[in-house]
Amino acid sequence: MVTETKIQKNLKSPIPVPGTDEKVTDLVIVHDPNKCTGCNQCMIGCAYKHYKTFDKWYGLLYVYENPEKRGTYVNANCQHCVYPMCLAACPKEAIYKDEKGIVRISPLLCVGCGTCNQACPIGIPRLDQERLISVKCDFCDGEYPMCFQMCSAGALNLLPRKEAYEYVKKLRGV
Amino acid sequence: MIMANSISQTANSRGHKKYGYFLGCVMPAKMPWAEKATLMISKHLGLDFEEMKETLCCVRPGVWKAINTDWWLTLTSQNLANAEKQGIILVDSCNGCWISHYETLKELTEEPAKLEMVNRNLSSIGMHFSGDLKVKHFLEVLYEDVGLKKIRSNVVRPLDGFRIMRHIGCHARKHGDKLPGYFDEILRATGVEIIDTPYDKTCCGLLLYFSDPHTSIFDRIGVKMSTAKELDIDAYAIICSGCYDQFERAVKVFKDERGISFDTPIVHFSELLAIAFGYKPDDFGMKYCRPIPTTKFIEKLASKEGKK
Repeated sequence: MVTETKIQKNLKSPIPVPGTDEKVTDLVIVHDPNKCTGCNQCMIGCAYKHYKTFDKWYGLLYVYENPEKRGTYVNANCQHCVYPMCLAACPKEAIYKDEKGIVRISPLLCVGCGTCNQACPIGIPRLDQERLISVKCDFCDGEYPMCFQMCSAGALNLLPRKEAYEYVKKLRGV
Repeated sequence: MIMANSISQTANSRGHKKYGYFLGCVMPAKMPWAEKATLMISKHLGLDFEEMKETLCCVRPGVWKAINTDWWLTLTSQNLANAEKQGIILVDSCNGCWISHYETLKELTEEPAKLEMVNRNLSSIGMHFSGDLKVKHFLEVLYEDVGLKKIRSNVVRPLDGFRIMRHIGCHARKHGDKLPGYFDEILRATGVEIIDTPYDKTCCGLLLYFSDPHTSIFDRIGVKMSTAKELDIDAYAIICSGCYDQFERAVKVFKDERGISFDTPIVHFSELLAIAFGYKPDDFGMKYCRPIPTTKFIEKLASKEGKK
């Protein structure tokens, strides 16, 4: 119940994106596997933005070769869900949705149990091996996300949630 | 500055297009044959096409954008300011150089605050950029300014019978299917047969090399070159110098670390055009400075000529 109240409260105050009718909470990153070349620039850019290293494994999103279709790549990046499973599952209430609609993990409250990783349908939160807490995408604090800026083949799109849903349906031929 | 604008406007008002070819870092160092072939075919097609003077590194966005976008814009704009001063259309064939110049120009012309910031920084070295410039990929120059019809009419030695795989590179795919389409159509105009494989789109791994060298070499170039070997193709056609750098490096690593030799030559798009236009491989030094010899390719060409 506590979790639900928190989500409802936070969803009441989405922040408008300057120059558009959109709210930050409405925008999501959508990956187009037909365009992705597997260059991993999104992971590298994310790693530099958050850890000041070009080691891609520090990135907070993931690109893998699709084992079912050679030469194509799948991507897992946080969707900052309207009702986040990670938030609902956290036993320490360390995960919250901030006023911009970004799902965040409080480094002070997190104990690194990994429940969020298990609860997330695409396993986005990961363990920070140095700090021993869970970390995840913070949507670059509501700026243009670095992964989106760095994508070298235009495979990452920044779309309003409704449009993103339609885009994905189209990609899947639904 | 007034003078720079007037030169550019004069060139435009005459309707005459003067192209400045930005060589980048890799081409002069590792691909002299590609540089020569590109200049030869451009002259052959009647373009006013010369190497751009006073160039600096393109400033690769893959690294610099993440570090500091303002630095990237400032460093790249030095090339744009020089091109504007010279009154040329800036032409790149390396996708890394092209995307850097293209996106910087786009950001600076669309956002006056960024142009102002760049000019504030440039003024400390006595430079200025007003945004009066065109940046084109070499494929756009050939397809849009020359035209496929003219290219086809210049083909005197069709390369039919040659089976090739091609790799255009990631950045050329960023703004839609236009450039990959041009690449394929111009290649087909030379008469070659393009063999499609599942790995045509896959990145060469250059962008990944400093982060994850193993994946970059073995999971990117490895699958491409192994496929080329399995299919026994005649050449791997590329256009991007950055991609070539990675292909060359990967081939050496495969040989040194795993004892695997690949014998499919990696050739530049311009070399195939030059041959199709009637030039001999020796005219642009096709057999020199190559980790994978082009001997088999040249022999096949010679035997094809001999049969006629």
